Amino acid sequence: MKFLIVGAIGLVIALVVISQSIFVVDSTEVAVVTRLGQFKASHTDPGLKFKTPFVESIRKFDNRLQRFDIPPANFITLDKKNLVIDAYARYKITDPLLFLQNLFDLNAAGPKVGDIVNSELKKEIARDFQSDIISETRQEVMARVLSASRLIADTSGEGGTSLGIEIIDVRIKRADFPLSIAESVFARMNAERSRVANQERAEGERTKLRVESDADRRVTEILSEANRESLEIRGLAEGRAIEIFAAALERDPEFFRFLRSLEAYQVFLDSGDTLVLDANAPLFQFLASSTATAPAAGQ
Amino acid sequence: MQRPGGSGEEWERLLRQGKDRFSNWSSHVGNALKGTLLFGGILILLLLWLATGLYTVDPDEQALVRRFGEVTDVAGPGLHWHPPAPIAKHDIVKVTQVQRMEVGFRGQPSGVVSTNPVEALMITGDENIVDVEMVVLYRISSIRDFVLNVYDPGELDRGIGDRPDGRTLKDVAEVSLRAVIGGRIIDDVLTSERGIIEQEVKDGMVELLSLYEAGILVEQVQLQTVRAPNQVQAAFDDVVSAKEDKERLDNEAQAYAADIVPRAEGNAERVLNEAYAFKAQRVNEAQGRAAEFLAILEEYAKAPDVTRERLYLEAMERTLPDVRKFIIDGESGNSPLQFLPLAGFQGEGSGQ
Repeated sequence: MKFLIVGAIGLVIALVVISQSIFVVDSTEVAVVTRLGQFKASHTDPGLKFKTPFVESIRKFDNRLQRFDIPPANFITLDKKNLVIDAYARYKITDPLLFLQNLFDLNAAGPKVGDIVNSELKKEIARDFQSDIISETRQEVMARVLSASRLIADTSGEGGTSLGIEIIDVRIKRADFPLSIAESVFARMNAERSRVANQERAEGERTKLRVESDADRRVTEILSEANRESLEIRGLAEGRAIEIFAAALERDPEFFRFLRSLEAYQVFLDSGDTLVLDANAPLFQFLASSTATAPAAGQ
Repeated sequence: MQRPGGSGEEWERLLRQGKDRFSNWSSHVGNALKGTLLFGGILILLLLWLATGLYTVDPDEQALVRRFGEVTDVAGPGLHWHPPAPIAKHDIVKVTQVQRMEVGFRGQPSGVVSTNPVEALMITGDENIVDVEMVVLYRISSIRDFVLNVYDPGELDRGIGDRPDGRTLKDVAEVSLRAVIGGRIIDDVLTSERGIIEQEVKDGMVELLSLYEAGILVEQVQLQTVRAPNQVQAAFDDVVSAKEDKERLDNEAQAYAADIVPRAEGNAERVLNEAYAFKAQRVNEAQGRAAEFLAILEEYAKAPDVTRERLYLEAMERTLPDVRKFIIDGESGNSPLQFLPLAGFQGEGSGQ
């Protein structure tokens, strides 16, 4: 009985001593060992570690990349315009002792990092135009804020030392217009769109007028060209006809005049006309007597 | 034998003896039993404790095993054992599965999609506001980096193991998307440059995630809805319809031109053909008549006087029958007065 009780007590004491003298540092952690408040050692590599029981205590910190969200706030740009900027910072512990001395724990570290970045961000935003921050210089602003914040984090510890953290990254997540001017932005967008719409329609009309009048012009050109050619052809045809006639008629113009006259008489005298004829005309020379001498024909 | 008295004492003694013997025996047995039970209990507790080190990894998962805080193993699918807590521990993460993160909207399992304006509305380079929603497809490329390097790597609301749900991926997506959209004018964002934007957002995310060593690989960025905000949607739609109008007017004009120009060309052909027809007719007629004349002339030349007389008389024969004729004696004078009575005949003649 006594043996059992002694054994149990011994085991408990042993467990307490063991738990007081060994501890685990995880891959995601760093640890600081202090003896009665005095710094003893820091552990940045993982594994099973030993310490003197009872008189030494440990503090562990998460060694992974930490986030601090800088709450969205109004920033004034160089051209005195408002911009709502939502940014974040990423940092991690590099020196657990300095971290413990300067910032104590992560709950305090986040806001401290936020303050540093926020004030640098204010300075940088105030140096740029609103439009530049929105489009072109965002990356540069972030890079400058990052390097300035890093410098501060490296030197603002006690006695000009580092805070024990490294600021890995600062990013502007959003750069928006304040809600109060959103309506006027929409009004401007509407006006701009209606300008584009009007322009599109007017350009459409322009194209239509140009294409249609061009077609009309081509129609007129084609038809007048054809008419000109037609007239030329007809003129040449007439000329050719005259030439052909003339060549033939040259052979006996007088006979042609005679023949053509006979044809013409037939055409222009019709039943409605009245013709007064001389009884002495050669046509009637046989009307009175069949022996009259023939006159010269056609005279 | 003094039975009554003696027997009583005797009994008493016997009883006491028996009691002592029993208690002796039972304490003996009891001690042995107690020891066995204690030992057995401790053994069972030990076994149970050891059994807590058993774990299974599904085919789409990997497990990161740490012993005393140091990474010792990355275990693939199957049943595994590691020394139980507090000596070792493991984290199981889905690594092969391509996961999906929604930015700017939240799709419900019912299929209803709700826009998240805070995420979706952003400024373009020409200071317009645009509504962009996108989906990021990603997977865990390194379980070691994913678990060890970043405090909150994954998407919010995802519930990864016993780890705090992360904002890192969403932050990275928003930063990249807004930087890319901020560098472009709204027309490019809405229309032509979707593919380029997707690529640039992906590149930006890959760069940031590798800076953070987050162990996340972005497979693809897909832009979903990209549109003007509701407040200006009507005006943007009107621009689209204006573009349609422009197209329509253009087509109408082309149709008009396509209609009248070929017709005009046809008409021109007709005019020309008519002219050629006229030419042929005219020339042929001239040639025919010339030939006719020459033929007549040839015959006429053989007997001019007679032929002339005959032609004249034949012509008169054809001409005169229908004509009202007055034959007067030319020798009685040429005074026009002689023709006065003709007026009456003429009137009659025209009255016919």
